[in-house]
Amino acid sequence: MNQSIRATAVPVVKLQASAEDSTPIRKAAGNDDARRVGAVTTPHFDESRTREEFRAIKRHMMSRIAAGPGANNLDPRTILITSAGRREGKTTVTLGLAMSFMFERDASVVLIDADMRSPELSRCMKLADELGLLDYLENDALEVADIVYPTSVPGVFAVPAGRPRITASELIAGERMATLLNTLQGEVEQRIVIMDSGSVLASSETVSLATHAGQILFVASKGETKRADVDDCLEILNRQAGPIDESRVALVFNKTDTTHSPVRYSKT
Amino acid sequence: MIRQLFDFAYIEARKVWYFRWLALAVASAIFVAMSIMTFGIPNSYPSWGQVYVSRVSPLSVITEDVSLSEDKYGNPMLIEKTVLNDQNLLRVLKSLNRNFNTDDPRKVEGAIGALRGRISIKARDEDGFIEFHVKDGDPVRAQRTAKILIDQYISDNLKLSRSDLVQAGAFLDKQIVVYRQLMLDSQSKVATFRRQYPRVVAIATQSVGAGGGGSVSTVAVRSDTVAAPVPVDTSAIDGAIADEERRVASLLTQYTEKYPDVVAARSQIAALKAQRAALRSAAPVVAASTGAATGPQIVRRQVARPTVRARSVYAAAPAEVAAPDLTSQWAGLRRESDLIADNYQKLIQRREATKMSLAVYGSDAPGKFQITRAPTVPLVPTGPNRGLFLAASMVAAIGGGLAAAYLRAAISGIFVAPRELEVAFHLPVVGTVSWEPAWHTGGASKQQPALPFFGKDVTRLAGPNR
Repeated sequence: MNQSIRATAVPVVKLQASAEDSTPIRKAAGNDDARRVGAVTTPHFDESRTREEFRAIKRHMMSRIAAGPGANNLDPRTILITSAGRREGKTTVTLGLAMSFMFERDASVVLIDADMRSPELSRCMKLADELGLLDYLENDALEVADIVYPTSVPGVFAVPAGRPRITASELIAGERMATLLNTLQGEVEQRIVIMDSGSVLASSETVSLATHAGQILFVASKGETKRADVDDCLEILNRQAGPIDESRVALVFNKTDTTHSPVRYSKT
Repeated sequence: MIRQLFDFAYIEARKVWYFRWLALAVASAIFVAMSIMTFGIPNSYPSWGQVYVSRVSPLSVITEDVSLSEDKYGNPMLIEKTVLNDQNLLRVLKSLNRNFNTDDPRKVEGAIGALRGRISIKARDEDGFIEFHVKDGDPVRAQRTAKILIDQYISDNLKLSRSDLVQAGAFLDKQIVVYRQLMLDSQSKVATFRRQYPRVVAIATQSVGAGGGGSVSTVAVRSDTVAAPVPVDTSAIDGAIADEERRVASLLTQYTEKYPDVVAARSQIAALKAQRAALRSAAPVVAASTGAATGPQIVRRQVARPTVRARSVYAAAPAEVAAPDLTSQWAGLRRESDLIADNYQKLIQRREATKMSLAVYGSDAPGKFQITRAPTVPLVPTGPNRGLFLAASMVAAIGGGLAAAYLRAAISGIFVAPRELEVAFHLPVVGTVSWEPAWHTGGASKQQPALPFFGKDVTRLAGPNR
């Protein structure tokens, strides 16, 4: 590793859950049987460049969080990541953003795999067979702590999708989902909930999730995302999940090359 | 404005670049297809022959202006129009293929058009060389075609020459008949005058002989009994009349009496004669006449009885004097007779020359057409220019590939730049995620295909201090 990079100041994240963490997260973090999570297969990133790129996205999200709830009174700490189609990089952006938030002092991130048709995040973290979101929403006996899994990365927790159900859309649109989000955020100011959802045009639960999201990150991939599809998505979100404006929705251009990267010079 | 244009061009170029594999595939397909077509074009063999058309041949010198075949066969446009017309080319096709089917007009037209496209004629107007170039996939057929074209050209022009000469001969025959009659009339008039006024003729002849060609008007007629009018000088008018008559005679060797120049000259002569008569009638009489007498009678009397009075009047005149109008009439008769005889001789000469020309063009001899290079069977093909075609194919292929990529990008409505997204949806693009390995991490990426976000290797992303 380059010596100069080694000297770079990187925010130190506590290995243990924050002291202010509320009960479910603390319970999960204190579980000695914390689930092992696996590696995520991604393209060959230039790591330092990717870090900086996600930092740029994170800064934008942080500034909105700092600005507080907008006119719609939605918590900007609840972030929905969606796209117009499949395989445009939603899970990649979710993970990258989580890792970037991890660097923030005293911050903790809860990743929710809300893509019921393709729970890629759960598979990546080897939590596909565990109790998850849909189980919690359907079974009132389950507690939040039962579906929040600590990861090997301190400050990052995961909520898998759970076993698939045909009533997934209705369950997500229910009141219990709102309760879950409120519980996860609790009283901790630095906790951020990132929901990895399916594409707007493919799953109706994404629109339901969007009604709870203070920020929506719309992923568009270079050369794949079609303008007409994005138009349709934004129209649907605007009609069913509240006003879509630049205070709430931002775009991320994925799968691009380095010419469009805000990072001009990078070294590993 | 320039920046906007640059941005637009940049984005469009990136779209094309995004579909570069499509562009490459299309370009390859186009290039392969055009290459196959290029190599499928049969070889082209050129054959050519050259004909020299003499403009100034002995024959044309003899025929002078009579020949109608001057400056006609070297005109490039005329040659193309005559040799490459449909009728001629159909004859060529029939000569090449005796079984050529003329039932289908479309096929015939197509075959004629194809043949015309393979023939080129280069005629140099200044030196009389005409080249016939033919290209064909079959070298023997190319040579045959060139030969047929040359033969047709020469034979057609020989026919034309013969036709011209026949018409010229017929015209000359008519003119000769007319002039023979004119000559006979003129000779008859001269003979009559000579019989009537032998003395005048003798004096005029003598005077001409003595004076070495002096004017007949200076010849005086002895007159001692008849009062003669004061001599009026009409020599200028006489000269003008003579010139006009010569001109008319010359014109009549080529044209008829109705030719405008002939008519004009005739009227001019009539006017001059009227003017001359008016001058003479207005002249004052010096001596009284002894009675009404005609000109010839007066001359006879003058010759027979010379008087002192007359001598006193013409004291400075020679010893023998003749009446001026008689001498003038005699001179006119002689001049007209000589002119007609001269023109008649010219007509006879031209008629003979025409017969000679006809004899030459009527035989199998090529006349003024000389084949300076007979068409040969070409051995080396000169076409097609496959290198040029391949280069053009390459350009077309690249263009086609780019066009295909551009159309594909336009139809699909994809995004290739963050700015496009911002402009399209009026929403901020808060970041980009690049998937392109940096040059200095390329090797590492191969060794570490999966980037671990979590677990023990998380420090790779978080940094070494984690």
